[in-house]
Amino acid sequence: MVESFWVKVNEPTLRQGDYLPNCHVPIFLDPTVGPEPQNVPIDVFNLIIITQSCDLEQSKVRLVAMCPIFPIEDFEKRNIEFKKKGRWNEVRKGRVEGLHMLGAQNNPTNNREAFVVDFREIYSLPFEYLVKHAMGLGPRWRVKSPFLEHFSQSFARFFMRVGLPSTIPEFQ
Amino acid sequence: MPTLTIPQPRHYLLDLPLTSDSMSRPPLHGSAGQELIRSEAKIREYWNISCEQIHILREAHEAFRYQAMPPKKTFMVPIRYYLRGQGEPLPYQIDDK
Repeated sequence: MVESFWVKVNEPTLRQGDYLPNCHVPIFLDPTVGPEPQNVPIDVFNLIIITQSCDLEQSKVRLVAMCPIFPIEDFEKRNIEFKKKGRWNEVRKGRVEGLHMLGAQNNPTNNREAFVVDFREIYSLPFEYLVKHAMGLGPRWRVKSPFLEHFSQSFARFFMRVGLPSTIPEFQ
Repeated sequence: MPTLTIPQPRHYLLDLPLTSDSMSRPPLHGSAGQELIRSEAKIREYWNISCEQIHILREAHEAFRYQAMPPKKTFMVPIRYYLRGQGEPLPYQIDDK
């Protein structure tokens, strides 16, 4: 029996680990400001909140940090190397920098329905926009403890990496 | 004298882990000979499994790069910019009770 990573919620409160599908991310490319409207591309992503819940609770943040989340089968279409045997196991074990795997929402026993979060892409969206968007979604998914802490720690480990100019030579 | 060789990736089942002069060696007889053949098969099986793991780890180390995923869709929206001025620091509450 595989325990679900997710719990369903139906509330306007935002928490770390909230899955918010179809978020609109405006991509501003032109820094000039003029009187005429400009056509701005809006990217649509399924995102998961990475801002800490305590900051969201006390409305300490104006902008909420989020990362894109994809079904692994969609990720494989873009990154065909991940179709090779053993690749997803490495992600599952937390050995691939920047990627974190979360179990399937409806069928946690089926690893082919699992999700992957890309920590290298971080978007900040206004708190108010996300609250309105979340309310419009109705029942939605949220990562539950202790999978949430595991997810949060995984992001922290990725973000706190330190690159060195050189390393001790490898032992042969 | 048999020697161990690492098979090429994805050829685990085709390559023999033991390169030896097995064709020219005298046939093995008796219970000791049969035991030796069984042991050789067992070693071959373990060796292939180990090599497979080595290749997976080696490839994983070399090729765990990935491309960012594109958005589900993109659409254009006419947006009128207006300047709200320089951003100011947000109030920061200090809890020094």
